[in-house]
Amino acid sequence: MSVENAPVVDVDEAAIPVEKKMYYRFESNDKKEFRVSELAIQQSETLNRLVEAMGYTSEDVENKPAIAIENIDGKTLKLVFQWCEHHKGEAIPVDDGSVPKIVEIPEFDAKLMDIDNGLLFKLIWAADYLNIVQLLNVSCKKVANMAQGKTPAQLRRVYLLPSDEEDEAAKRAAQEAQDPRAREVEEEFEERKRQGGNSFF
Amino acid sequence: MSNFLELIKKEAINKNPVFESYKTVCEKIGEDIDFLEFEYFHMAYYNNPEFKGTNYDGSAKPKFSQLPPEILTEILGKLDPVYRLILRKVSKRLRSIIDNEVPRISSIVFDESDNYIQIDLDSSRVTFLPHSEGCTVEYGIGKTKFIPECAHHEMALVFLRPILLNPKLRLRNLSMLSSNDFNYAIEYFSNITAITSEFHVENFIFRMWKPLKVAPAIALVKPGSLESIEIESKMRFRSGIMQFLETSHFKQAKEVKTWHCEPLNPVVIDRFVHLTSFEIRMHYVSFVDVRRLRKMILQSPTFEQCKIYLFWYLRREEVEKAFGPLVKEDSNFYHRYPIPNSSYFIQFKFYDHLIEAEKFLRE
Repeated sequence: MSVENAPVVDVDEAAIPVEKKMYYRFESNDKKEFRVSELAIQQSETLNRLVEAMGYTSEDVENKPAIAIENIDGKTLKLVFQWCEHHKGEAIPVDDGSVPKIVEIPEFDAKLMDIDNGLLFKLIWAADYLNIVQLLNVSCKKVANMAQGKTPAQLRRVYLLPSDEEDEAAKRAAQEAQDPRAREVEEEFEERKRQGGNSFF
Repeated sequence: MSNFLELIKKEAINKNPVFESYKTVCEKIGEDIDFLEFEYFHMAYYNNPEFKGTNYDGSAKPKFSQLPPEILTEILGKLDPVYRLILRKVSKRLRSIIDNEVPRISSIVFDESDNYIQIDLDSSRVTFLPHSEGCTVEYGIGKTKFIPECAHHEMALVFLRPILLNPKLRLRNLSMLSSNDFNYAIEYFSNITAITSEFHVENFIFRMWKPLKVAPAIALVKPGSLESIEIESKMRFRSGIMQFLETSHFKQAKEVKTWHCEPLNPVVIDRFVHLTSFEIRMHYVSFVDVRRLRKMILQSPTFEQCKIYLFWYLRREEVEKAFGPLVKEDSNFYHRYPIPNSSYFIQFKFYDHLIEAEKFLRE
């Protein structure tokens, strides 16, 4: 088992209140271990509830096995905890869904998310799974920003999405594999649509 | 190292944005490259110019299309409304997500003139310009797209269609402003409301500079949802304000303003007193009419204020003869009448072409 340097972000001890801090130990699905401060954990509703339910003492944290996070790998979890440590103590935004909120990406977050799409999607997944509202906000905003200024064709390339035609072709191929008459029916349907359909709208 | 990686390295070391680099490299090698593979190497060189290259395995990396619908909804919710509509065109899945979510648009302005159609979705603007071989669409900051063989007004309506078709659309403001014959747009919107139902709009503004009727435009909107209606036309167009007074939209509204429309006969004045606020234009108002108006306003539980613009001049001397001397305050002349059994009074101000009434709390 490899152990990541703890804590995830360097802590300025002088700036920390005198009260005793507790660092929880977490383990990713590829057996990387992280130590995360109690305050940073509060950014994640899922983890916060988990540690509250566990009711660990400082001794338990050291003596019991690290808390396993089964579906997140070490590389992603490191980013998650770096973000939580940096934003610890900050208020968690509440979204009532009524008005779209304007999301600004702070410099630290922008640098943290200077990663490839694959890892960024994993980070979004992790933020959603761990219910870290603001991390989910900024990471989704980053993906949304990637779409700005691109044409549908460029977006298909960036996001690897099939066009309607490709989608239809794949659907037809799958249908044909099951029922060879499906194509005939589909073609007849398309022909009817062409005859009866409005040419512009 | 292959030519492909050399090109990516050069782009990454120069800190060129990834998508711009991608387009440059695709152009140079003359074929499309897998974007995710490109991005992987670009990021690797960007972070470490000494990167020696490894085999790329894209199979293990999650893709945008694999993100669950609730995350895609979250991402789409952070997009400008215009780009959300562009993203609708990308794939069936995105279209289905966008069409099923509550549109986060509270205001639509459809502004048509001889030279353009401008659509404002909240603070985002898209402009459709006619072109001899099609139309040009301007959006975002300096983005322009030419669409061949398509009239600009048709394109504008096609652009709005998915938003208007969404039955969850709830608009705070809808403004339809036109200096042209606007019937084609009203007809198009009517076809949409025939599929869904009338639009849920709280404040409706309809400005027209051609002889158009108000009724078909008002019929686009759900009567109960409508709180305020503002109509601007020209007197000579006869926009059908009298017919408008018969609609349930008018009867259920709270505020109505008509600007430059044809003047109304004072006999209809009692139709307005259910409103909290109204601004209308009338022919000559007799003192009998003013007394009737005063009586109704004093009895109205909802009335707050009104402005009645007069087609004919109102002489102050005659007002004073009929109602007693006016109180002068600065350049204003007024009468005040207490509302029985309440701590409010109504103040009537008289100008040459205007009578203004407003409810105030007694000091």
